Formats: sequence, structure tokens, C-alpha cells
Amino acid sequence: MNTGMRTTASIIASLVLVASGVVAQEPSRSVLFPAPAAAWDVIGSLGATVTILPRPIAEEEIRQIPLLDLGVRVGLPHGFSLLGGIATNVLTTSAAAGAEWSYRYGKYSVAIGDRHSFWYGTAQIEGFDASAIGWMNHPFVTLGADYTEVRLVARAEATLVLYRSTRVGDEEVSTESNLRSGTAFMLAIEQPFIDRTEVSIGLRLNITDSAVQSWLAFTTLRDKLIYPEILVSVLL
Amino acid sequence: MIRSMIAAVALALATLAGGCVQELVPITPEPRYDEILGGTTPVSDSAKRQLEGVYEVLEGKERFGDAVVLKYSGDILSVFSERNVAFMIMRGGVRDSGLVFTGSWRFAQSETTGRIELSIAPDDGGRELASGLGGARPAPVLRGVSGGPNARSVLNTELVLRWVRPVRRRIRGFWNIAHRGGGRNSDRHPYSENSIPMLVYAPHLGANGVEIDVRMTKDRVPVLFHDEELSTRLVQGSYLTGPIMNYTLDELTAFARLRNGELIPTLADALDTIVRATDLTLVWLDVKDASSVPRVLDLAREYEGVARAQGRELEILLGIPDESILEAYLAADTTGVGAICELGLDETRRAGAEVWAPRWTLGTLDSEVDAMHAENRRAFVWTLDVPLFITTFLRDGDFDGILTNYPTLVAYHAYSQQ
Repeated sequence: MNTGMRTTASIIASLVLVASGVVAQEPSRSVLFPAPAAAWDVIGSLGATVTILPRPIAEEEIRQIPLLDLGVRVGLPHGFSLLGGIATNVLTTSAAAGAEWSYRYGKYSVAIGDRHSFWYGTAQIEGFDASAIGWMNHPFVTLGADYTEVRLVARAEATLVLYRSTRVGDEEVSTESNLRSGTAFMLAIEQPFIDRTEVSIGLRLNITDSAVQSWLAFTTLRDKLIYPEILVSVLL
Repeated sequence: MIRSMIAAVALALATLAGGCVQELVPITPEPRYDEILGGTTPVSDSAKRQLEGVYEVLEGKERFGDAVVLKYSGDILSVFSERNVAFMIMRGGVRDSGLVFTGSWRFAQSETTGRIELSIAPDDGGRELASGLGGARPAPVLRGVSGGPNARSVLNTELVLRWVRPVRRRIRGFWNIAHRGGGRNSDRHPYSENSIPMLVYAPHLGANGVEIDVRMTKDRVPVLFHDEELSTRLVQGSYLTGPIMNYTLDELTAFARLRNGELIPTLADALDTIVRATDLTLVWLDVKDASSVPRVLDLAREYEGVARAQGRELEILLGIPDESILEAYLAADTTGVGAICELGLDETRRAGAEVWAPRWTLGTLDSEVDAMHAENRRAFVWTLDVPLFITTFLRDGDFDGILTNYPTLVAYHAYSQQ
């Protein structure tokens, strides 16, 4: 974990140094980038998220069904924004809502915010009649650097499990609330894509003992494990 | 510039993703056996039997709950708890007119662990137990301390256990079957899953049966290995990669070590160890390759014979997880070797299997289990790890065995039920 954090910090620093000579421009409309959005501007993104389950949980079966991910940001006056999103891969569906306040200084930006997500999982397959629900909270800080055609985004967020319940048939398997469930760090890049759209590519490291994507494993391990997520989305 | 930045970000992402390979390291506390047990004499068999029982926890409830079960296997005294899925593994000896014990404790679902030191004073039942003469059963009281994991850790949490009643002996028999020879690598026992030392360790976790995974090498030797491919989840380093069936036994012996340094064992060595070095009564062979069934049945037949010759009670049953293994089993010479069928009731009857084994998520399946019992078959459930459901299945279900990664918890419930 410490090694991972050091690696993340050194890579972010390297990227900033590499790009420091690029001339700053006005920020683009973005769901992720922390510069203030124009008031009442509605910005959307559509993409996919793939979570890689750690081996202690998934063993051989590390493949995951990608989540289809729709994100929305609505600009408000004075640097505030409303955030929302829906993600699903049929087995697991989550809806998120939150808000952030952003500030821009030259080509650099910062945002602080808070996001709540509600998720539901269901699996009706051979030998399984399983379901799960959860409510999570993610306070976060986002840093951004705008290099005209390329924007870099780094985000750190906490993961608080306000409620989580898994069931098999009518029987509740587990229920929990854990306000120290974990943290997440994300590094992403945004750049122009076809037809005046922009693409966002990122990696998020979730360090948690209660990952949403592992609910169907019914794991009983209590260790904080790293769940890498690869994120790709197109700004609409 | 932009291209170089994109390349840099791609490199960064690849580095981060590559750096996320993570394996849980084994938990190995450092009990001071030599220091504590030096100069003691062995605990007699009669004292071991008298020590076994359900104990009330008078001090130390926060860590170990209200009650624990003490059970001997060989020279190891194990303590099983429901709270925190805690357990202790201890060695003991007789000193003067009392008994002393030392070892380690841990919570099975986390890395929390530590050392433990206990004793039974002469007036707490130690005199009767130390004499080794049997006679009237004492009600022993064990007093001591537990603490952190290292030899230098301070033992500062008081622990007092008072004998309440004997352990329950289930009339029809019950099989507490440890998954992968005792537990998964992610359970962080001191030994690797599907290894020889793990098989010896399994009875100390309360198991009286083990499930082991069988794959074939390139030169057609059955070995214990769960995954299809060699990976850092199961072996040290990456000296060999790809499917295990691409390598001969000699190559695996020369270049592969399990996570905790053991050799990948052959099935023959594993069965030999089970017969000669454990008191396990059941082996569930989880065969991954239908073509290996005839060879595996031959070995099962051979080692059941060895056990019989030694007066050992041991069943070695072939697992039937899918249709291909079922067809291979039906086509082979199955004389003297039974089966555990994980398919439906009809397939279980077709195979003539001794045991039917449904997945735990299907529930307690009372009518189906009754049907199997009526046909003189047993029913095991797999792989049940959820503490609440272990309780439910033992209380409400009528299964004859549970395959689990937490045999200590199953042992607690199975032995403490009234």
C-alpha cells in the first residue's frame, strides 16, 4: 500500500513536470475535470469501467463484466456543481448523486466534493439466488492541470460504507456499516476525440475491505485489498 | 508533446496496474515452545481426554467470546471460538503438579494474531490431570494471558477458561471437511493450500476430513494443485508459467515451490501423509481432469488398503463436480472407491455415490437430504464459510458434513451444541 501510494505520487509529479511547458488554455466542458463549469450547463459522459478483483477474492476468475457508466454534471453559480451517474452491468447497478465546489487558478484547478451512491446486485443463476444492496459515501478532492488539448486529473477519495446487506434467497448473509472501509486514488487523462467530443481514460485504485464489485464472492476476508479499475468514457 | 504525455500516462497506468498484484502473506506468530515447555513431561492420553470440553470464558470475552471448545489432536491442544472466528493452537506439558501450555491465537478472517500462555494450577484440576491416573473428572480452570504476535510482544490480556461440560459426540457421525487440505492461501495459515504440511495441520483446525484438488502433470502424475495455471497466487516467483499440465513432475520439483516454500505434492505422497501422519477420516478428491479419473481411483484404492491394513478408518471419495467426471467415473473400475456427487439427486443415484453434495447457496434442502438419508447416502454441503449460515446449517439442517475454509468455526458449533 505504501509502495503503491509512493508510486502514484511519483508518477503524478513526473507527469506534471513533463507537461509543464505546455501553454494553458480555457478548460473544456468535463464531468471529471475540476474546473468550474458554466452555470446551468449540463455535461454528460458515457463510458465503461472494468474492475479487476484481487486474487485473494477472485483466485483464477479475475475477469469482470464491465460496467456501463453514464455520468452527469450540472454547473451551478459560484463554482458549484451537481453530480450524478448510473452504472450497470446487469449483475450490479449503482446510482450516484453529489455535489462539488471547484476553483481554477491558471491552468490548475481543484475541487472538493461529496458523492453518495446506492447500489443493488442480483444473481439468479444455477445454484445461486443472491442479492445485495448498499449505500456508500465518497468525500473527495480532485486536482487538475489543463494543457489545452490534454487535461490531467488526480483524485483522492474516502470510501465509507453506510450500509451493506447481502442475501441468499430470503436469508440475510451479512449486514455491515463501516465508516473506515477504505480510500481510492484516481489518475486520468482527457483529450480530444472524434467529432468535437473528448475521451477520458483513467485508472482508479480502490483500497478497501468492502468493494461493491466483489459482493457476489461472499468473501469473509476482512483485509483491505487493492481493486484496480480502468475507466474509459466519452464526453457527450 | 501531447503524444509523449499520452505515452507517459499510459505507462503510468500500466505501472500502477502491474503493481497491483497482491498476495496475502501468511501469519506466523512466534510461540516460545522451548522456553515455556522446557523441562516438562508429556500430557497423558487420559488427561488429554479430560481436558477436552466446552469452557466458559471468565476473562477474555472481548477477544474470544463467552464460550470456547478445547479439543486435542495428537499433541496439539486446539481452542475454537465463535467470536471473531478465533482459534488457538497450543502445545502443553506437565510441570510439578500442574500443566502449562503455550502457542498462538488468531482471528481466522483477519490478520489479528498473537501469542498465548496458559496453565492449570494444582488446585484448578492440575493435580488430577498431572497425575495421569484418570479417575474422577476434574473441572479444569486454565488461567493465563494472551498478547501480540512477536516474541517480544507483551502478553497483557488476561484469559481464564473454566470447564463446563464435555464436547458433543454426534451419534451418526459428522464430517468437518477442510477446503484445499486445510484452508486457502488467502486464509494465511503457516502452510500453503494443498501442501503436505497443511494436511498435517488440518486436524489442529478441527477438521476430520479434507478436500484436495488434483491435476495431472505432463508425465501423467496426479499432483495437488487448484488452479489450471501456475501463478503467484499459488507458487513463489514466476520461474514457470502457464498450465501446470505443460510440465513434468521433475520440472515442477526443480523449479516450482508453493507459496510457503513447499514442494507441489503428488497425490500419492499426500494420501501417504494422511494415512500415516493424521487421524483424518475422509478425503474428498476434487479432480479437475476427467482423463485422470482411472489413475486417481487406483491411488485411492491403494491407500484405502494401506489405511485398512493399519486399522485406520479412512474413506477416500472421488468428487464428481460435472458431467465429464461423472462419465469418466462410470466408465472406470470403481471397485472399492466411493464418490461425492455435486450434481443432482438423479446423477448421485446414477453414480451410486455415497455422498450427495449441493452448493450451500441452495439452502438446507431438507426434503432432498431426507431422501438421500433414506437411500443410506450422506449429504455434505460446500463451501460454507459464512458464520451465520454455518450456525443455521448445523442447527436447522440435517447435513452430515460441511466443506469449509473455517473448520475451526464448524468445530466450535459441532462440539458445543447441546
